[in-house]
Amino acid sequence: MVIVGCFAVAGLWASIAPVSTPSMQEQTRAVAQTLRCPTCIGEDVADSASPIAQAMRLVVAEQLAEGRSGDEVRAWFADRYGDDVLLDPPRRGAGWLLWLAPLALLGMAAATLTRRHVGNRRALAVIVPCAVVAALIAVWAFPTGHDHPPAVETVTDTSAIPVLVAAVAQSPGSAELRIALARNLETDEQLEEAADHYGAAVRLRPMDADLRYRHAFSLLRAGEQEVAENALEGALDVESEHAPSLLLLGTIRQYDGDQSGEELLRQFLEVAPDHRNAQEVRDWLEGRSVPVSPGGEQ
Amino acid sequence: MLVTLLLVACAQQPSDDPRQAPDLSGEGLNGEHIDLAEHRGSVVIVAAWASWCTTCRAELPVLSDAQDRLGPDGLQVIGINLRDRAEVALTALEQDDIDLPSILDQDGTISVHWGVRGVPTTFLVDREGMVLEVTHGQVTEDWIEDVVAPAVRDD
Repeated sequence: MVIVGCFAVAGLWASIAPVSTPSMQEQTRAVAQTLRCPTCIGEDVADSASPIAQAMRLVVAEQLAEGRSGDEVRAWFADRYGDDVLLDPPRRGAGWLLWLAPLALLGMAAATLTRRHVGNRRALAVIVPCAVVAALIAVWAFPTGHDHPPAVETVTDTSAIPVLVAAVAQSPGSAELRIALARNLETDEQLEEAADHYGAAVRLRPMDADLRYRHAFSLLRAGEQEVAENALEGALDVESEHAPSLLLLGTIRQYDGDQSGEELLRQFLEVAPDHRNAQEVRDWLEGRSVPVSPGGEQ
Repeated sequence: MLVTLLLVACAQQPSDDPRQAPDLSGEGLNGEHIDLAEHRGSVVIVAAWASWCTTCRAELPVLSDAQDRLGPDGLQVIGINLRDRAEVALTALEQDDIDLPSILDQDGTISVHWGVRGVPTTFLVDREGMVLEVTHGQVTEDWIEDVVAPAVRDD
């Protein structure tokens, strides 16, 4: 319930923050959030990991870049998929709900805390670290093969771990909470525990290749190379051109003298020729250098 | 735990009336150029599939057989290969001894333009380029006989 309040705080803060021109990425996400994933029940296009949802996000971005409005983009999708692809707001508009829902949740969280800790001022102090957690979760991003890792990679507050552990205990089926906890555990060098929570998140979101990759990476850091390789194979089963998985699995196998490693690395170069590690991989495959091992040792 | 506002509009499906097929052109699995417009005058089955999709693999022989039997009467089968790798898709076709000219749709945007929700999805396009029918899931020989064959022979 405390974490519910945290999300409410994040949502309310976002809604009263100073208005700035949204980036194309933000505009794309905003429109994608109003479209229902045609493949995954209960998910919107912005967050679904299904191949079709990923493609729909690309089409949204293309159309916005061509100058179409959000309404025109939605109409385009409704024309092809039917009106049920639209996640329409109620009569008063989504803006009202974006205000009402966080306020309602904050109220619920506050009421719960008050009931449980009558007269205990320390309960209110939970809200402060919760804001930190909420801010982190609000900018959450997975490694997606982009050249620049998200800023949140280096910004974690390990004092949030007990809060997240409690939240996961309350909501063990929440992949988002599992992932947030895993990231904080990684930062705190609790690598085996982090890997366990990433694994749980993968079981909740099996079609998320980025998440599978993240799980594999944590396993590797925890010294579980064989299990990590299986996890990477799982990511490639979900998304055969997942560049980070091709790179990491190819590197592991190439380093171990497994010939399949070279094939994987060549596939990586094919799908991500401009990746920041691409030249290093080319040099390695052509015998011009020896890279650092996947475990970080030389 | 996240606040997800899922407010569902009336669940209206796309109209069942025939509609103009979207453009479909691009590079095939063997690097050849494929264009639906070049088959105007034929009845065309447009089949969205992927090598990683088991039901897609199961229906490929049905589509191939339809091409063989009804091709002389003016049927053409064209695939949209969704989020796949050309060499992997070609290997899958070779394993099943299937010849299915397919346009590569590696980022999935072609499939989105066609309204594909998942694979396999099959569209039946008439000789004037109008989409007569959309089938979600594996097509069968009965579907070929009951739906496709009449469309081919009626013209």
